[in-house]
Amino acid sequence: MSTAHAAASVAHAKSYETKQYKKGLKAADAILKKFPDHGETLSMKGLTLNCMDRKAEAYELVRLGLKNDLKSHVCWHVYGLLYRSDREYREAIKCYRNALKIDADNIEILRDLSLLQAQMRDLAGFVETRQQLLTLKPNHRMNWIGFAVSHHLNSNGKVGKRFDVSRALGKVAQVAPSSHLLLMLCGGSLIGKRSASKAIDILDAYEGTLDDDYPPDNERCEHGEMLLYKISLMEECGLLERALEELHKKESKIVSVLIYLINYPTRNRKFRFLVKVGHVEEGEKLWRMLLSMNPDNYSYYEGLQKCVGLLSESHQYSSDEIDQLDALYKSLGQQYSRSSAVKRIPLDFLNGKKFQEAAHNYVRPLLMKGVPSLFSDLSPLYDHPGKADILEQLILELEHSIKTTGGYPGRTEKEPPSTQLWILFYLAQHYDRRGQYDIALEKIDEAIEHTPTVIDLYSVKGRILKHAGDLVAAAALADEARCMDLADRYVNSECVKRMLEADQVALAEKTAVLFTKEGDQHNNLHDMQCMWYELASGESYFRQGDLGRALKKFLAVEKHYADITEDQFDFHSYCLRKMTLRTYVEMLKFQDRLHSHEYFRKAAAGAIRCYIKLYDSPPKSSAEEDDEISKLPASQKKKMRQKQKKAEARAKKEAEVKNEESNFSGVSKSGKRHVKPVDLDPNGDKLLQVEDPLLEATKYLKLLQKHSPDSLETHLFAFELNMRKQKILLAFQALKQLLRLDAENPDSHRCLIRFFDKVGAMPAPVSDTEKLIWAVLEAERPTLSQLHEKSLIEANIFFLEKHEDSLMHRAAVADMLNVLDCSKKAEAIKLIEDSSNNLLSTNGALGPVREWKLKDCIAVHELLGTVLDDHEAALRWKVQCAEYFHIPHTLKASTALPSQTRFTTRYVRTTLKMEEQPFLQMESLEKQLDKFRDLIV
Amino acid sequence: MGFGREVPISLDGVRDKNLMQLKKLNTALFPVRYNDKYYADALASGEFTKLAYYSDICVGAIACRLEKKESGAVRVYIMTLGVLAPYRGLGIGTKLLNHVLDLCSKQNIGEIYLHVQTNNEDAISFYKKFGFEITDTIQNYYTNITPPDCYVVTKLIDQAKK
Repeated sequence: MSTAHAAASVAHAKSYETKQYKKGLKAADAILKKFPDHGETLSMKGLTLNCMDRKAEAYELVRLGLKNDLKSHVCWHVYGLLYRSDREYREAIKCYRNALKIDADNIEILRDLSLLQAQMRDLAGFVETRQQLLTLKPNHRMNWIGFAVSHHLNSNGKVGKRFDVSRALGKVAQVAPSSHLLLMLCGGSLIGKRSASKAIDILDAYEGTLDDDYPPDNERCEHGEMLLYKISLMEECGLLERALEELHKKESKIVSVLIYLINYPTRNRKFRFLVKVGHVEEGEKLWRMLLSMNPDNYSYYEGLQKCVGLLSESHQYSSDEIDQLDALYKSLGQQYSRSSAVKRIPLDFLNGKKFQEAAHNYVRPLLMKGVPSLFSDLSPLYDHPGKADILEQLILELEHSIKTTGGYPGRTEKEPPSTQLWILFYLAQHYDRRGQYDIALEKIDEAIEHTPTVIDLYSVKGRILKHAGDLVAAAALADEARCMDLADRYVNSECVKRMLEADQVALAEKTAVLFTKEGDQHNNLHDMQCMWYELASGESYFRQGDLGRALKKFLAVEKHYADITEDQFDFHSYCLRKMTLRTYVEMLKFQDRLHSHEYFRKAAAGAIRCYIKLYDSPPKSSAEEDDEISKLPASQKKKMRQKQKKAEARAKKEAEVKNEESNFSGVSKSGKRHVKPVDLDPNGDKLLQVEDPLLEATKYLKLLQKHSPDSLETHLFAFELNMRKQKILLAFQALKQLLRLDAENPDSHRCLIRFFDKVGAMPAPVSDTEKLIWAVLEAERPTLSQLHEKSLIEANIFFLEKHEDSLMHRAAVADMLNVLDCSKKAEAIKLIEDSSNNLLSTNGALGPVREWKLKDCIAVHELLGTVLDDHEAALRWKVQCAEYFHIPHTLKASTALPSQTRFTTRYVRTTLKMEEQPFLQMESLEKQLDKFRDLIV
Repeated sequence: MGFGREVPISLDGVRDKNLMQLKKLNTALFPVRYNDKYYADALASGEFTKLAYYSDICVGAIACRLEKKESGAVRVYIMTLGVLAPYRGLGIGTKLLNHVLDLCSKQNIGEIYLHVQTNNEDAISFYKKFGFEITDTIQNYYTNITPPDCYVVTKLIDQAKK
């Protein structure tokens, strides 16, 4: 190639880097005119086209370029970049490796490779590449840091093969024998140490290269971060004394004094060491100093308690300890009279009379001031035995006193009129928490009557109605709350949630988009990764039997998690440069356990349920449907066809409107069009056409098994899927996991009985594999204590005897009784109907609290109606439940105060109907229960 | 009335985002259900319509309509003024009315008036304290409540220095 062409080629590369793609293309074409087979130019042209959204051509050209010049590292590098842009990291790594075979010391390629290795957690490879980079450019700070971080990451290495560091260091020494620092690294002390401590040594060595007056002012933050990272590594290695020493020694270099004191818990870190190392007294002094700066930080109190030896993990204290704690907090309370933490914490450890006194002093001023969050603040105490009763009595006394005298008991001074409102508000939440919905509603209605303008009252009333089982009324109340402040995103979101719970998906969507950006509104919720919304609407679609849309929502959430994984890519280079190393490593660890997040679990569980349902009852093909229609009488046929046509027309129109909207919004201010791919499958119909639903479900199951192995649900799904796939051993494995996690759970019991019932019914083994499976089960069965020398029927009865008082256990036993011997159905039903809804022990001051939960009753109703298939029994069950949950009653209660419902016409309509036709109440109760029936799968 | 601590009372404007607060108040306070025009007028009056907050709770409101007289001068009509029962006697109504009166004198508005049911003595004496006077009686003003008659209660405001 002539020099002129070389220049053109350089120009081309330059225009690529400066994103002047058109110019670049021109330059490339000029070269290709004379040298049409020039590999590197072909590759570069391909890369340029890739940036101009001409993917297919890009791949073609890059591949052609490579074919023409297999020995060019440029061509391989470009190929790698192309794959990287399409997130095909494994392929990209291969390409880079090929490029490095040709040009082993190419820094750019090494750097690109290291980023991909970090992303893919090829940690051994990452160490190797970072080491090469350091060897090549030991005077770059980033290379030292990168090398240290790579060792640190590799020390937690679950992934990849162990890396022989001493060998690598030997290699480093060979390459750069002159560098005394590298020789230091090779020192015998390193061999056999954990990689995290190697990382410390590397950072020490790096510090050794710096002048004494380092860092300059503009590097102080970065340098301080590096030091903190090193100290955190020491802590991780258990070198606490050394960490402390380092912290003392480098204090002046870490960060400015202000940040050091207040902002970042460097000092907290120090205290942690102090306690761990045993410098308790010094620690106590420092915690007290921190408290004087911020007496509302709970962790400071905890630290202090630890230093004085009064912190128990279980929060159980002896009476002696309680006295000491009480004294400690009393003296702190005098010191920090304005702190709320110092008043709140004693409520956790005090009991009985002392608790009552402290609670009394705590709640009175807050009820007077009006702190809406008071109940959430105190709700953890409801798990402590006896405290809920004390609180109830206490607040009722205050209520009585305020109502009769206008002041608190024993005081002549009057309290503000809003005190009564906040007392009623607290009581409503209190009774809601205790399951006494009628009283809760009475209290909240009284509060609304007192002051009808407080939004929280309506939100809480909606929540009570939800707990009592009236989802539609709950949604109406949440909507009322929303209308009272249209600028409040929180009440808007809560309303959307309630609407979705009541299966009002269309309305919910309309409400949700009130807070999205103008334009393509529904997609905006997706782009903003609004996962709670997607999960809740997925659940709603699932309840309504719309598996396509449900799947679409669940898979959208799954996609967000893939995107989050993807998003870390940019940080591999950014964080090393900016020295935010602790945060970087934390972020990587977070990414490693990303899929154990609750929302992912819910989405995966939702998708699996969809696929199981799809497998159990596959959608009818259109031919079958036509067949069914043809069986109908002519008049109905016509009606149905018309209905279908109308629905189709409506759907088409909606799609058109949506398209127009999105086209409109697609034109941004600059006039450029961001073409968004149109969703070709808005209803998820294509998702339903999977060949093997169980295979799809297994994909998500595997993620659950890997990331949520301690969730019962994971193994229930594993059991269900493998039973359907006839994978006996895998189903057995799931069963064993269930028994490990909770052998007393009704569902674990169900799986146990169903599994061995199924195995028992299988024909004798024929093939070797079958015989092997048989042998495994033969050997394993006696190890299960539940089945020890018992028949399944006996095991079932044994389980019943163990859990006689629990509704859900009885239901499971009844269910299995029917499975084992379907002639015993009547007995099974009787078993359920003989259950008694026992009273929970309370002080019983205001009506009894019963054990049964609404959702359990719904599940039992489902069992009676569909599995045991006895509609009369199901109806009897409804009548019985109506007694406990007062579902029509809750509706009636809300009609008693028409002033609150005037503005929600929908709500008024339902309540009016109830008034006009009281004899229909039973029927509407049935409807209510029907609605909830599908809640439980 | 003496409370343990002084509770701050503040006023805030009515916007379409919090209009429902005014509606809730009116439902609780008055036997009349107000129509859309009432709320449109209230919104249009700007500063002349205010919600009163007791600490953070909305407990009262004054809603006015600005009317143009034939002469071209503007006068203020108080459509509603009310405070929730538990919060009466705390000076909230006074604060609301004073706000509007101040505004009138600042904007050189000379006349402010309202209608009061003839038997509502509390209201009449309340307005008299502020210099309002009964200027007229309208027979059968109300359709659904007894007595159906009302007084027109008016205050002429001294024009600020010109």
